[in-house]
Amino acid sequence: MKKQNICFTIIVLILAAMPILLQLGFITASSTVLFIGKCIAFAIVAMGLDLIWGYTGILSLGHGLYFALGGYAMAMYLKLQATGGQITDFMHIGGLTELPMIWKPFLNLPLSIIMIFVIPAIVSGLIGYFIFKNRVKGVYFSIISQALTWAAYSIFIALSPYTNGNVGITEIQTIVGSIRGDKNRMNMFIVFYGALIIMVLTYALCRFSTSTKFGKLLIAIRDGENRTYFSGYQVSHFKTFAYVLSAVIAAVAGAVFVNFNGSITPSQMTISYSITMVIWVAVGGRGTIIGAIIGAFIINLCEYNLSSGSLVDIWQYIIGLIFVITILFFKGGLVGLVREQIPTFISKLKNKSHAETPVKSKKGA
Amino acid sequence: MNNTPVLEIKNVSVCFDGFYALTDVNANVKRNSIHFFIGPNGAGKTTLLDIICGKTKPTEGNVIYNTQDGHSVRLTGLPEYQIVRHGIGRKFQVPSVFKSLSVKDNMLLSLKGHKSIIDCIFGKPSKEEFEHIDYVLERVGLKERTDICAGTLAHGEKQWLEIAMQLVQKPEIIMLDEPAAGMGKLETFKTGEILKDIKKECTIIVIEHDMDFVRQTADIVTVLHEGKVLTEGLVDEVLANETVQAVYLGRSKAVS
Repeated sequence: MKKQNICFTIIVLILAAMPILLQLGFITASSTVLFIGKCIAFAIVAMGLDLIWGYTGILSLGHGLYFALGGYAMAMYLKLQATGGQITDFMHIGGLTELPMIWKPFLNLPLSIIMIFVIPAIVSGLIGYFIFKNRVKGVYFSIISQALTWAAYSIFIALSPYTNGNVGITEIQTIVGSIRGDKNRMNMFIVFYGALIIMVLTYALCRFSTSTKFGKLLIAIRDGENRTYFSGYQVSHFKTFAYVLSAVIAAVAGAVFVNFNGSITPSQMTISYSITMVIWVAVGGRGTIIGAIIGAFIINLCEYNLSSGSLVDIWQYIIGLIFVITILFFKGGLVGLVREQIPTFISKLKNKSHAETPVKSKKGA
Repeated sequence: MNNTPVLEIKNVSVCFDGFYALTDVNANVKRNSIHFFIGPNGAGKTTLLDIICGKTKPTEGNVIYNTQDGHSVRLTGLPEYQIVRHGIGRKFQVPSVFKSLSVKDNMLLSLKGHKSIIDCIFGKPSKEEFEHIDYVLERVGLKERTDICAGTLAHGEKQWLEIAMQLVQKPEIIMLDEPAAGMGKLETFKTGEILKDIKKECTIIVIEHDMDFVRQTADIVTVLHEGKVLTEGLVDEVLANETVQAVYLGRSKAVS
């Protein structure tokens, strides 16, 4: 368990060095740092997903919904900052003459930040309460979570006067102003380190909650939900709570993401985007918080480096293949590989070389 | 000592899509006894346990639970976790322990009380509770296995752990669905001795097929057949009953 914290510290130190490397000229493009900022956001949502999937055993294929809800909440605030509180172009085109009610809370920052937490908490709380109360589980839950994401996606596109439909909310800066260009580099660093701090806090939160009895109960629910009911726990409340926690973490990640991405579109809400998140967790190693982080970074770094070249067309196939191989052969992902499979493989090899001599002598006899 | 039965099963019938799994079953369970329900496959034994613990709702009838201090609780209609909180625990047929957690964590999660989310996040078990866990593990013979992952325990040990998980809740009634299934002779005997030890503190309801095990441990036996109570009484009486031998013992002899 301590190894996990050491590993996390190393990752954080490497990340913290990125802006310094840029400043010193080892990294030439500032877009690389922006991309790593996005990866930090992905790592945060992966941790949230790991809580609900890796620990509690509930596979949500719709976390893109919460990621996007947080992203939109942030983007709406930033957009209003850019327009000076006036109504936006797409609202004009949509036939609106004044700022709609749902945009009003996003005029000020504290309220916007509260919204980033409250909106996904309410949505996931309602969804979780009814689904888990009726004991919907397994693949049925996964399908419902997909359907809900799809429904939300359709709603966001249909309500284009309020959300700008397919295009999403674009042309926005960050929470501290512009980060483009050399003269705004300081702003970029502030946003980057801010994101890093949020990632550390999320990690601490996840580690704390999984180390308590609550975390053990989540594992208990995964191993034997029935047994947990018969140990006197109101399991549906626990599942709902874990689901809300994970949704809020996803929303925070979405809000961080918008700062680096400069826009949010409904494509962040799609099913395929949500499934990509699941792949990060699976490849990294579910049921270990550090695995989720590692998975999010590795998959995204691969995508960043590979999909720009000739591999762009087949990238989706490669990632699909990696996912299938992980699920079939490496259930514990990369972390499981390092922690269990390689040690058992080595000890097997040792046993084999030990065992070989007596086996031969037996044959001879 | 309170002489009212701890559990009264009154006119319970269950109908699954037109098939009556249980028809008008009546039974009283005496306090601090080991009460066996036996019967051929499909007699409705497990269904009866499901009804007592709230997993299945009866079509008709009631299950009444009488507490030590003379209160009566109607169990029918309560959700299972509340029935557990009243002190009625259940062990399943297939051993179902939390296999990724250690033996100790399995026990910690089973402790009485502290079942809310807040308690689980911020609560810490007290020293007495740890001592109680050690005490219970010692009684079932798992003291040395405390830190082992429950999934790696042997089959018999898993059964004992699950019994221990019921016991650590300080229950009034423990229900065991085939506790000796898949066990060897020695293990079965040990399980019987554990049960006899436990019954000083609570009432035990058991479903079992193993007749040696029944003879070893049972106080009272109720025979179910095709969803109805065939007979009820002391072990020797029941096993000597000709009808019982015909439907159950005779048949199992013929099979073996």
